[in-house]
Amino acid sequence: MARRVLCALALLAVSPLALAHAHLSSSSPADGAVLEQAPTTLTASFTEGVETALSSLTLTDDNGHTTSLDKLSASAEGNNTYQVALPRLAAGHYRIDLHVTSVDTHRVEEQLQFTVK
Amino acid sequence: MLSLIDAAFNGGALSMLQTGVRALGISSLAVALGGLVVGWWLVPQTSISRPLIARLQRVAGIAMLLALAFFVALWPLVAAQMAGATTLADTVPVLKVVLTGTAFGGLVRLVWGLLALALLLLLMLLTPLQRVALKELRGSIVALLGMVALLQPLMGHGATVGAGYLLPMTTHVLAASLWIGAIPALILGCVDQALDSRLLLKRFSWLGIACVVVLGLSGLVQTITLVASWQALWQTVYGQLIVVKTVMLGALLVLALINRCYWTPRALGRQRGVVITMGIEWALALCVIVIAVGLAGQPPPGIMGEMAH
Repeated sequence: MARRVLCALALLAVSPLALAHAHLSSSSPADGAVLEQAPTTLTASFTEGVETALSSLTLTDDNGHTTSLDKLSASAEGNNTYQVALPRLAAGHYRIDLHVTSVDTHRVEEQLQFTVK
Repeated sequence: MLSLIDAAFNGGALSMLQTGVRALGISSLAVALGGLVVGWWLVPQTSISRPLIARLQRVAGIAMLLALAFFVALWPLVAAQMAGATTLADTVPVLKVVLTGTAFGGLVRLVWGLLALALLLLLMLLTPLQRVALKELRGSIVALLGMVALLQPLMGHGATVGAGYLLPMTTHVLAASLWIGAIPALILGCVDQALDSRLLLKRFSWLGIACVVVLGLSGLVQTITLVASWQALWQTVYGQLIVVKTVMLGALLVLALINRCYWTPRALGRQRGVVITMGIEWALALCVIVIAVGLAGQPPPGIMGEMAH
């Protein structure tokens, strides 16, 4: 019995916990990246799972022109990683605004910027 | 009229409305669950207590209907939050998406189904022709309501955690529902002049003690893991809500002890005292439910601290 209780407590101590709504943990292209080649896909990893059906992404170039992107789709990499196709990008500075809803129902906004040489 | 509804959908008002509706849904569920457990397993099953049991079953049926209505009303409120909608016109197009394409939608449909099935079984049980498999029907109804209680954390922060964290979250809600939900049934039992309320209160005290132990342990585990530091406990909204909730739970415990040690031995023929104490207990318990639902909308500071680093 004592062993079972200890096992349960150990499980509690080591299992991952992500309770603070979904936040962007990493992306490709990364925030602030300077790229030699224009990316064709945005891959984004979040601290929690997100509801892809409610995601909304916009791409803004350095002239202030904004394009709506498709909704996120689950990436084959798994682990709360999602992707979306990007339009053909010319050289310049870009900003992507991500509006996502985590599976705990809370909506968050994230932003990342990158430059194509 | 539409502008009034639109105003209610804006920012803080939406959050408050959602908290209120969810708290009412959970309270109604608790009344149904606690009432049936008291009526079917704690009230002595004699001919004298038959009218009380029938009354508790009717109250539970009404509470189930109310719970179903509140959980249906919760759907557009959560949909608006999930889609970032600020007006009713923005919310309507996402209702179907949220219901059919999200984890919350799947869970809320399951909750509706379980409540509807529990209600149907209760109606079957109340039908004069239905006297077969009484124990099985009673067990099934209570199990269905228990499942609805266990699903509550999954409709919020619990959706993102592993089994290790989910266990204290779900057992906490189940124990709270049983304890808090039993209070109105106990008040009805004490008001009933024909019943020996001492026996009912004594029988409940064992269930009450078990619920308090589970609540204390599961609450402690959640506080340690989610708040993480003394500083966060005092300086964040999440921590402060936990402190207020703990103080109120302490007050509830004191009232329960007064009932157990003072009023229970004197309950026969002097029900007024115990009814007043339990009335205060019930009012405090409703406030605790509102605070608990409010906690679900706040990011836990332990994790926020980690993220800041």
